[in-house]
Amino acid sequence: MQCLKTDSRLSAWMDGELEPGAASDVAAHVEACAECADFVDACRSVPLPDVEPDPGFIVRFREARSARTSEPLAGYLTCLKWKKLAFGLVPLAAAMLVAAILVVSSTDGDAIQQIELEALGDPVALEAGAESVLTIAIEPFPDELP
Amino acid sequence: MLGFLMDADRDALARYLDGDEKAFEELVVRYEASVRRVASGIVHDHALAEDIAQETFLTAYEKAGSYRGDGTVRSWLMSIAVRRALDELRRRSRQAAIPLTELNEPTGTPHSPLEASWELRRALALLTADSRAALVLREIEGSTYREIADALRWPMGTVATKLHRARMELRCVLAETKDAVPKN
Repeated sequence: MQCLKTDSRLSAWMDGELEPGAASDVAAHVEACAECADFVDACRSVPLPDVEPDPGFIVRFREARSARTSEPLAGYLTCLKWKKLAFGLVPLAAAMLVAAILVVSSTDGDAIQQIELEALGDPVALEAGAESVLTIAIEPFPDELP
Repeated sequence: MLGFLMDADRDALARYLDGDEKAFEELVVRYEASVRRVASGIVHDHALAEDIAQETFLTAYEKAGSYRGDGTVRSWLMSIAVRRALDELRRRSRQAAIPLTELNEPTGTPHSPLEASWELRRALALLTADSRAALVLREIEGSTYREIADALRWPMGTVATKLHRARMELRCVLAETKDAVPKN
């Protein structure tokens, strides 16, 4: 195997990201190649900078979060949530309205049609119907209300 | 241990999404150092890294519902931090070169960890922002190639290539720095 110093497989091997077969090939090469072994040692001995946990961070985060949620935008977003809810109810209300109109119009239509048919076909029945309506209309109120 | 943390993270996020505000703070406490470390490794400015870390958690707080659950919560936070840091560098047009004057020279004794850290920070500053981000995620945070690819939106195959190039560059720069910096 050629020197892997400039080959990304060397990094992938160091990082444990190679398949087992390829990893054992690279491992065998690194044992035999001084340049690759130097490269691996150098990479592994680099002391990268560290950052200690900061107990004050959470306090600053709470402040930043409060500042952000108290901005006018937050009020608008809250309002938007209500609007969203209201808009969500619109289709339901519209459906109920349409259903109500359909029921009322179909009932009226039937009644009108019935009267028309009766008027055309049977004047006696029409008279009887009108009489019963009149009877209901002039019926006195009961003495005692329920 | 990692598996436990992953479960604990998902549990905390789920509780937060169910309305438990305090649950999100568990994630902040657990990962604030990691997020600042990654941000600091990319932008090389502690104050800016703090701002980026705060913005990272605020973004996660506001958009927790966008976490799809196909990676760990930790890598999701890291990817937000990395993108914010790279965006910040682009915005400030500092990607090509971070002024080395911003990296204060240490006052410690020669060959101390402080000096080693300074040399390294100086060397890292000479890498491109993408390379720094990949190196920091891998070397400091121990991120997998999958996590790095997700965070930087690279194809998986690119991660090994870029990381290796970054390591070679870092090694060269460190060697040059050692030759250039006079020892007391």
